[in-house]
Amino acid sequence: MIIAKIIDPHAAWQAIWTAAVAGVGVTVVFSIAVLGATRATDLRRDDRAGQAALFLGLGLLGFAATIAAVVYAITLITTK
Amino acid sequence: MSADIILVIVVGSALAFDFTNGFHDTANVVAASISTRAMPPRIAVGFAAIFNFVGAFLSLKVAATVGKDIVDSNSISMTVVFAGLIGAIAWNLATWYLGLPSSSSHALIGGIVGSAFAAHGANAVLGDGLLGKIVIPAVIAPVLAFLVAGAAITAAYAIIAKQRPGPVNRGYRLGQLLSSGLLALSHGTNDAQKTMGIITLALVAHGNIAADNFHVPDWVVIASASAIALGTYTGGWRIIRTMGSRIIKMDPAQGFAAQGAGAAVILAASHAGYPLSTTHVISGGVMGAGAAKRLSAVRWGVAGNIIVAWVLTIPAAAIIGAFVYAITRIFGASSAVGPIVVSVLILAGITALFLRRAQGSGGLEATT
Repeated sequence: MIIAKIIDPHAAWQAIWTAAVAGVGVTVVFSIAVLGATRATDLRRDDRAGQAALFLGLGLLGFAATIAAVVYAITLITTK
Repeated sequence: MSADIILVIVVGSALAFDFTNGFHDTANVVAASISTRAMPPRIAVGFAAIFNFVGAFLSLKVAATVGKDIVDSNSISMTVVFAGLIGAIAWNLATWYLGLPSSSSHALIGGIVGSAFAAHGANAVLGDGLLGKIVIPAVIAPVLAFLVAGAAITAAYAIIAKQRPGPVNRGYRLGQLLSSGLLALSHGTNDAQKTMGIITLALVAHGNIAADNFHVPDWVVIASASAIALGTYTGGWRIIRTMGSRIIKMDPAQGFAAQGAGAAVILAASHAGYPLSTTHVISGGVMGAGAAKRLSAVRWGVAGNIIVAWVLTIPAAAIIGAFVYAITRIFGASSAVGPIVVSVLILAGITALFLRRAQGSGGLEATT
């Protein structure tokens, strides 16, 4: 109760979950981008063009999600 | 006339603090990138300086917290602000000399709290604001960064399992351009604002701004952004060494996870108006990324030294701030002589410190 009086629990909780989701989320989507790029290179070398294209798409999707997360983070700061 | 001279000294001291903040905290931003060889050191530091400068313009919420919620702005004089700044600068330089990544933010807040306490007693310190906006977030933030970085690197290792390390490492090194840019941006956003808050507090004390109309003038934003960027570019190589390799040896994925977690925590906190210590957050992130891989990968002795510096920062800077205030009072409460004498003494001390270091006769590597 005393802590709830000196700290805004709503703002604190929002900061905590936002940081957790963003911190883990950015690493996960970027790791997907790395996985996609690495697998696409290996599969292309093995002449498996179809699967390589799929992983390339996955990599691009991961990279786009990473950029989107970064842009969203900056927008969040500048609009408050 | 005397008040004008003190204001000039206070603004100069605040910008000097901001410079030492960038100088001292460069390590937070670039250590992981240098350690994993994502960027050469000089490029990394220049990169961080640019993003620090840009970040300082993004938000003013933390500045308002520092200016309004820690000490009672009505009972603050320029001498109090000056003494607090000197307390922070002295502690920053001492920890830089020892190679310890302590918090510039907490040094500043400790210095101001100490000098305000010495000047007007306990009533000048807003206990709820200090506890709710500084102390509790200071405990939560590094733990949060530790957990977030740990979870992030665990997920990353699961995703990239069984892939060839060469291309994976190259990928994460590229990603570190993004994560270190974001971290530098969040550092500029959070840290430059603390100086903006302090300068604005001095302007309130001088009568340029009404206490009930707290706002940060544009010239304060530009000057603070420039000072922290310049300090960042100048760099703090000793602390970079501690952060980059002495806590853990990082691989690029760990560097990315630590920087990403650090940036996320700082940006989320800045959004809520909490003036966090970027040092604490990124140290927590680095330790979390290391501990998730293998607990023994973290050099817990080094981490322990850093934690001791964290705990000491606010009280030590507060004691120095109170001591400096007492010295300036000897020359009169509103006299400019006290701040001038203290400024000369601190400049002489800094010169001696740099000369001693240049001669190679000093410089404890306290984190070994």
